[in-house]
Amino acid sequence: MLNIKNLHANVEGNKILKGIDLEVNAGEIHAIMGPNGSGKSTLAKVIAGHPAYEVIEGEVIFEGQNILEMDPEDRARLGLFLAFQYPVEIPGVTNSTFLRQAYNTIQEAQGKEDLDPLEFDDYVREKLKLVDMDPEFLKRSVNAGFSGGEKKRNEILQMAVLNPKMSILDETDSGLDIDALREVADGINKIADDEKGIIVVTHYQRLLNYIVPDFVHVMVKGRILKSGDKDLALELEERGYDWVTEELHVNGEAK
Amino acid sequence: MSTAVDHKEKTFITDLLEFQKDQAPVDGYLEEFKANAIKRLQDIPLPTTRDEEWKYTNLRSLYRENFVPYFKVDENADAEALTSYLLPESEKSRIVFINGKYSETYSSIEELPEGTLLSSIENAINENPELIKQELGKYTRLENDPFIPLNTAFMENGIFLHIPKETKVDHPIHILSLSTVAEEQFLTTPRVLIVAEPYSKFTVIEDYVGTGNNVYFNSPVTEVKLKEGAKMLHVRSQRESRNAYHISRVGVGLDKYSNYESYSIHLGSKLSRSDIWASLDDEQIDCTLDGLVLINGSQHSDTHTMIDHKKPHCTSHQLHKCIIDDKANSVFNGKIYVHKDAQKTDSFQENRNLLLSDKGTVDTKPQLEIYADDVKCSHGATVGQFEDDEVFYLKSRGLDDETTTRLLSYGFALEIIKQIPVASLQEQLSDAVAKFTQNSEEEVPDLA
Repeated sequence: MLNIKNLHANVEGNKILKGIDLEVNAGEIHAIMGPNGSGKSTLAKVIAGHPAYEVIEGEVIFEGQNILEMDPEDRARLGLFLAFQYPVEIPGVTNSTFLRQAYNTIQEAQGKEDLDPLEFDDYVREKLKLVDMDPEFLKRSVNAGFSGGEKKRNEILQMAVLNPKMSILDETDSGLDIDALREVADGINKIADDEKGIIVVTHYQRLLNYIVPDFVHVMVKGRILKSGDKDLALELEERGYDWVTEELHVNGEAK
Repeated sequence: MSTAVDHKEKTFITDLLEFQKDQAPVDGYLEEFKANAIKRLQDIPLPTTRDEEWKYTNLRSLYRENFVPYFKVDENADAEALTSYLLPESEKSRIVFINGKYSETYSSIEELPEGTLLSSIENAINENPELIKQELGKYTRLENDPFIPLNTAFMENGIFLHIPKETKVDHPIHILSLSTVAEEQFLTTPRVLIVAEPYSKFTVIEDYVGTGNNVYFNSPVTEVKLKEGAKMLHVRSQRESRNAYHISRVGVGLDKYSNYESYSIHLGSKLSRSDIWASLDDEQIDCTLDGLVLINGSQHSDTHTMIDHKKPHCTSHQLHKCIIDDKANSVFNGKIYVHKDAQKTDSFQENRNLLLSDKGTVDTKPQLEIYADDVKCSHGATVGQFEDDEVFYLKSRGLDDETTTRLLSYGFALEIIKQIPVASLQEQLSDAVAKFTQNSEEEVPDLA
């Protein structure tokens, strides 16, 4: 579904991604872990098309197309979704308007039926239950004055509403207390199915207690240095990240 | 101040003053008050761009127009157009002027608390001459400004609002000045004097509406005096004809513990200029002067403000936001003056401009003059497009450039409009914003 080949990217002239290879198939959950500054959030933004990042080399194939030349909205319309680490506040625009416009735009692009405000209201209320959000949220401005936890929940609500084929969750666990973390993870698990791919970008293992990944990748200094199954995440939790780098030094693979 | 005034500019005022002689005469103090204004008007040169205060606003096109005063125009009230601007919250606390003339038909002031006076200045001076003499003309402090005396020279049925001590007025007082299509180009000079006794609390909406696309010149003057602990919310909405000229002056005098909160919305006019002068004359005063300007086409809008901190422990807040599209020009000149005695002043000022086109222009000058040494003041101005992260967020949800701009512009403008606690006006204005940001009727976002 998503195939990243030898991806190199810069921001403001600094090399952040130095050759990423990653393949995610339908039904798979991949976790990308790594220390701060490893480039994992950059990878998420590059896949979604953030204009601040310059791709130097490589390709990102999604649904058979190289999406690197596409605008972010066209990637979204193909079925790609990024849950932001820092969701943006849009005062003055209600969540319901924003969600409906986004939903209808993507539906139309995919040749599917759009929904009028009343139909959409029914649809979105079902999705609210998945993330245990009060319908009052629909009337509030997008993320404006939301707590950190509410913003993250709102991202997962958007994921539920837009129903993307491929979701990248960028540090969705950061800033969540244990109850909120469990609820958000629960929502993600309900959305996940055999036809969707999910990449979870996280610094800590704790989210992976609730969202069990099929694959875990360790990213350090712009490269994926090690891949494994869910046990790798536990090992990272116990031993930190340094041993990965050291192990590779011993093997002479890292510089 | 330049004295070089060409022939055209001279005739602009002298022609108008010719008509003044035909106005219904007044006697006593008002006669003297108006005569002084006429004399001043003859002495004050008309501003040009050589004057510092008018550097970015050229009035040449105004001076070339011919106007007759409003009392020379036949009333042409378009009842249907009018009703869409009436506010249900002010059903019985409303004064309506149509083309500068008081409309008894549409005005209704039945629901005001006992002792509250809402009348013409002419009537008020018969009943309480000392109060009017003491307050009228005291708070508009612009020097060498011809538009205040112009307003005074043609003043008739000016409004006097007097709120008694410790009185709370529940209904917002709506002063609607409607300009309709008329055969002639006319001058209107709405005048409002508001005196609030200690610890009163009330809301006034000044609403300047044009129902057509005709050329006219509206030059209102509003004076406000808030005595100790009085609290006023003042909304000024300018939705004149797209070919109108609008030059307004507001002077505010604030006493101890008073709270003045002002929201000025400028959407209409070919050329608009608004000056607000707030004088914080005592301690622990709270003053807000927020503004929103939405202009496109070849509109020009200029806002000058002064927040004059004279005593300690006062706070002021000014957020002035502008969206500029097409070839429109926006000017902001906001001065905050902190006197030597005004220790512990807490002042915030920001002018945020959203420039949506290459051909639009913004001239902004936030000014801070501080002579006290223990104050907390911040001021700044930004001119720009949207933040990359905002745009990326919306686009990553599948929304295209146009929708993204529309939603973000709407949100930008609504931050000010949301502050107006009168639901029907808030709705009218947010519809106007939606129209400005090219939302189709169906897709007007819900008000957040």
